[in-house]
Amino acid sequence: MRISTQSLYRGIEQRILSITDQLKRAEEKVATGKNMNRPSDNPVGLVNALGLRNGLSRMEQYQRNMDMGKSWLDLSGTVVEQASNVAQQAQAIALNLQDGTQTPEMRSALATQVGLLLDQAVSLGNTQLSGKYIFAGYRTNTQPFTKSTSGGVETVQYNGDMNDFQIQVGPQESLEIGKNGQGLFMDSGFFDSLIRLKQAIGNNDTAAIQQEATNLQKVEDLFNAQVSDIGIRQGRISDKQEILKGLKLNFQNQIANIENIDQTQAILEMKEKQNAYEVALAASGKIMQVSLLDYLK
Amino acid sequence: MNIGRDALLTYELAMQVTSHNIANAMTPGYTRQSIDLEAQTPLSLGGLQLGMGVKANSVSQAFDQYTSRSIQQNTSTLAENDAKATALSYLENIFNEATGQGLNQAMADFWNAWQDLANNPGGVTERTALLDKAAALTTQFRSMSADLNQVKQSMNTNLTASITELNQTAQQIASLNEKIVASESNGTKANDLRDQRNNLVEKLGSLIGTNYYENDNGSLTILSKDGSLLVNGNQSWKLSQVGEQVYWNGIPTDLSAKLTGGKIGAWLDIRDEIVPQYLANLDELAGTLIQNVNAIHSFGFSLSGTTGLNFFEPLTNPVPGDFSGASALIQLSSDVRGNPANIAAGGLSGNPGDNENALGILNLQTDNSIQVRKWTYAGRGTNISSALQTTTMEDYYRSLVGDMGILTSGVTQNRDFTQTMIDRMNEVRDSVSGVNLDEEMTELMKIQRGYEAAAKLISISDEMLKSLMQV
Repeated sequence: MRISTQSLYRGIEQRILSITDQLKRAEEKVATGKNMNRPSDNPVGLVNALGLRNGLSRMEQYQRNMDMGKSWLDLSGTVVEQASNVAQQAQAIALNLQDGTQTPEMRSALATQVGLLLDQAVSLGNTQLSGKYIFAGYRTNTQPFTKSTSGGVETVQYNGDMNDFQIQVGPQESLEIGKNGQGLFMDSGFFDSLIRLKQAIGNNDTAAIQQEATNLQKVEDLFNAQVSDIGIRQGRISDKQEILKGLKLNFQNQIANIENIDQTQAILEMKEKQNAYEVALAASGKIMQVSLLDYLK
Repeated sequence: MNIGRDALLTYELAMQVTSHNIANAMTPGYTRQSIDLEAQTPLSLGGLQLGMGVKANSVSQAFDQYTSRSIQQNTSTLAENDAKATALSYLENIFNEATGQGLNQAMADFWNAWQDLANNPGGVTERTALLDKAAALTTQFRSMSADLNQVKQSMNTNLTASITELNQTAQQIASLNEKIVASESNGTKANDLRDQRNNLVEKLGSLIGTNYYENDNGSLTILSKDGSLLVNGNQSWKLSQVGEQVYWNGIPTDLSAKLTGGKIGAWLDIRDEIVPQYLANLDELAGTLIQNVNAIHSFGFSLSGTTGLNFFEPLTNPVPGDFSGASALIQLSSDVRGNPANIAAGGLSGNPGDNENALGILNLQTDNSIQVRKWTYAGRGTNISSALQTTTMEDYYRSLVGDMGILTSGVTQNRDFTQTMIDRMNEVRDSVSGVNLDEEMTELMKIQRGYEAAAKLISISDEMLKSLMQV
């Protein structure tokens, strides 16, 4: 084939340009450490990577949610356990008094002690976590339990609502981490039992004292069941967090596989292009030097 | 001696052709010329045929008609793909999620802010953070929309420039047509004028897809692919642009959906098809987000217990479900802007612990039953259709990014392929038409020797004549 001088030079130019472009891309990969620097580099890979990144961001969010859920559950677990202790102590006092043989001084001291237990119970119900009442339902800014005395009769009032606080722990999946105080402390008769016990001790009403001892046993059982229920939910969070940890690692690896380059390979590739570039330059230089003119004298 | 003189003159002529070749060795589109030598008509002398020497018959071009035409047509495709690839690389940057910033991230941040709010529905920090993230998301939408419109605008500017260039080129071809017809009327070939014209035809093809044919008198007739006459004989017809419309010869019929190929085809494709399609899909996403978030938000309760509030400013398009312009207009509603307490996180009450509505809204993130339309603009927007998809909003956006990547890499590959093809064809054409300097040097030496010999011939004849005179 005839080769025109112009196409000889054009060929040299095109090849050098094309190798320069390849060199630039290889260098870009090494410099950024990424396989994809624009959507067209690998559209399918990018779409997958975006999905994985969204998934990852959600998982991190769910982990944060669950960390918060855990602190709620930990705290309410402790509170219910303590409330159970209070019920137990009150019950012990009741059992101690049911034969009606204690001196009035002793009874009065024990009545005071029950009164203190009631105060302790109310303050347990008013437990706060970072400024929020955890047993107030949705009314987290309102103190849920207030004790008042009218006509010598003590009552405890619930100011919260009937809702249980939930958080999201997975896509379209939520977990109850808060219990409203109505069910736990009011409906269970916890406060009422303590109030009635205190009155019964004052009146030395052994039948009533016995009745409250039984009631307090029921309250204690309910609290214990609640503690184990909280334990189950804590377990669920721990399990989910473990799973998420594994999944997160998996997602991170997948993203890295799609996005990140193999350093060794990328550097080798760049070296290869660099060599090709140098060879092309050297060869072109040689070709451009020769001409028939040099041999015509 | 006459033979010698003719030979000298012919060699001078050959020398001129060769030096013309050498001089134009680097001229783009130059076609190698050669001189056709022929023996003079012999003299019959008593049954003997006596040679009368040499004469130059014609100067002809080594022109490869077929390859030239393919190059011209592929140049058109190349210019189109090249222009498209350049414009797409801008568009690609608008949708560039490869760096981890962009709308995808802004959306993820937005949903995460709702999660944080759900964890602490009464928190002022969480509410303010959500408004910040939402504002960032709306800004991202609006800037993408503005960038897309900017690309559209610059396509229009490019179009104006290309049309001006097209008109000039067509005019130049018409005037070359005239010159070629005039100079070839006596049967000689107007080689250099033809080279110039071929270059211009190639340039015209890089501006718009054309069909052309050569008339018997040597003039070219050129039509655009849609059949508009651009050049015929010594006449050319102009395209003109009025706003976004393109007219032929001033006739107010819009051709912008019909002109294909070349840069003009590329600008029109990007302006009327690719950008509007992405804009429509971005609008769709923004509109869907506004509608879905507001639908849930308005049922919830703010911290002060009010309900019926919007989170995003609702669209005012008169037809429900018409989301056009949504990505340019999306912004926080006047209800919540600067008023974080008005975010309706509560589903039942304005109580600070009520997060039910926030949970409802954040479920939108992973809700894969959302109905979104995916728009297709075919035929430069003369054929707009949409397909209903049931997906999550994030997946919908990801598919847009993927489409953009696939489109760009497709066009880039096409361009590279066409470029390689043209390179090969240029080599083929140059193997016929191109100048090889070594070859011309050899030719030069040949002529030189011939010239020397012819000169010698004259001097010997002269000496012979002198000898005769001395007798």
